[in-house]
Amino acid sequence: MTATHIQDDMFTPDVIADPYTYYGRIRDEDPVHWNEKYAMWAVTRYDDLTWLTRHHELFSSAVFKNDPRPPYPDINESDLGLYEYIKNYQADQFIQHDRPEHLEMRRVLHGFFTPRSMEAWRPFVRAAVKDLLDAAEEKGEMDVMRDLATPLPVLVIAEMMGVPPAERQYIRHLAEKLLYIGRGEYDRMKPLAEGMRGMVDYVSPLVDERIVNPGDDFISVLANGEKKGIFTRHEVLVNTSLLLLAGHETTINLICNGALSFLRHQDQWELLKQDPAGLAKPATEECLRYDSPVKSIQRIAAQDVEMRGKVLRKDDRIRWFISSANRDPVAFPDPEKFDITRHPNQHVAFGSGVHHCLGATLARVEGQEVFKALAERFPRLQAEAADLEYQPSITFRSLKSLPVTWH
Amino acid sequence: MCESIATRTFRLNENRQSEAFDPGGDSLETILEAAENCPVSAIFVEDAETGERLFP
Repeated sequence: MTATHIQDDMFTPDVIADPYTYYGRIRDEDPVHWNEKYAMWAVTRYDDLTWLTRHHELFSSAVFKNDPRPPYPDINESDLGLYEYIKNYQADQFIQHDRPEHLEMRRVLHGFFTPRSMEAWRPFVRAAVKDLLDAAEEKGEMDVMRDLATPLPVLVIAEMMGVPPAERQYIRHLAEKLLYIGRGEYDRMKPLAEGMRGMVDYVSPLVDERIVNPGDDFISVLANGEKKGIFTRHEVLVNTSLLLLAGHETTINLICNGALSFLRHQDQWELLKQDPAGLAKPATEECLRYDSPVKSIQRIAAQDVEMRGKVLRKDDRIRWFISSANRDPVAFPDPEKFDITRHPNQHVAFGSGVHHCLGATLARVEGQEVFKALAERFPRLQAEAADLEYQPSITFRSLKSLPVTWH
Repeated sequence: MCESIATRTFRLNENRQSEAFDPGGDSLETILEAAENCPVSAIFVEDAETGERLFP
């Protein structure tokens, strides 16, 4: 470790705008770093990240259940009651479980999300992308965030949930509130709790109906888990909301961050345009690596464990940083280069180990179809604004907007 | 994941990565379930005699 001081505020404007310099410095200078301000460990190297996720018995995913401390960053003291509600809600997500429960819960859902079942959604995704781009073309302008990246995953998820088109807007409205989970504002508990209560109220009657009358949607899959005694009703509701959220913000970020990577690397955009169908797959992988939708994931130490000479104590808070691992020079030659032909590209944008993202194939299908269609239809795509803003989150790498032109 | 489902077919090596130590350790049904549940789609299942691809 060098003598230079690492400032521990992860929400400063420069860290939010460019996490790569900040987390990259931690990766190089103090890879398992104790962050004083938030009293948590930052794990930043690729090898440490994969080691940690493969030793899931040492690093619990039941973060909300096992952490008695108040949330970080701080919240309004008057909202601590709301935080209790939010904790109990989040704790029922299957991703917030360890083995053996995690395996049992994940197995209920997995059949819906296999690569083969997700491929079957490609024509739906392609048609949805076409409709959105038709509308943008007609209008003559586009904010990639507002007009493409945001509506697309809502269309797909609402269809997977079996929600009528007229209610998609309401789903989006709830999702926006749920997204406060990764943010830093003092008053974030209120919208978050509203989103959670809204989801419970909205989904509950749908579950009642699917238990009696199952379909091929994923609420029916969860409802079947309740029938089998694997999920409680509350778990069905919470996990429906999880699938809505998990497939939502992350996909928005993949599309916006990926599009921006192309806009800022004209040579790679030219390359994609030469063979959009052939390069869509490796290009999507490189977008996932280069500017990953999710920046960090939490764990809590299940026992004392040593990493890189540091002793992490039982119940210590841990965050592992995808943003720095995916640019670790030990794992990727020339890691700061955006190279859509990169091979191999074993990025950890979807995490790794037993908690590897359940929706990875769906995200890939959506990314591939979007980048292919953009390259085919808008060859002269250009960013309209030079300075873009990001949401103040340590979990998500989310642009606020991405206006483009193509004339 | 697979080593928890098809316990007589897969195990973890010292790097905690799965390997198939006995390709016929479990029933085909169990092996296919393990393959379907693999988070990274790393399992391919073929009939050892005919070479027929069974998964994916």
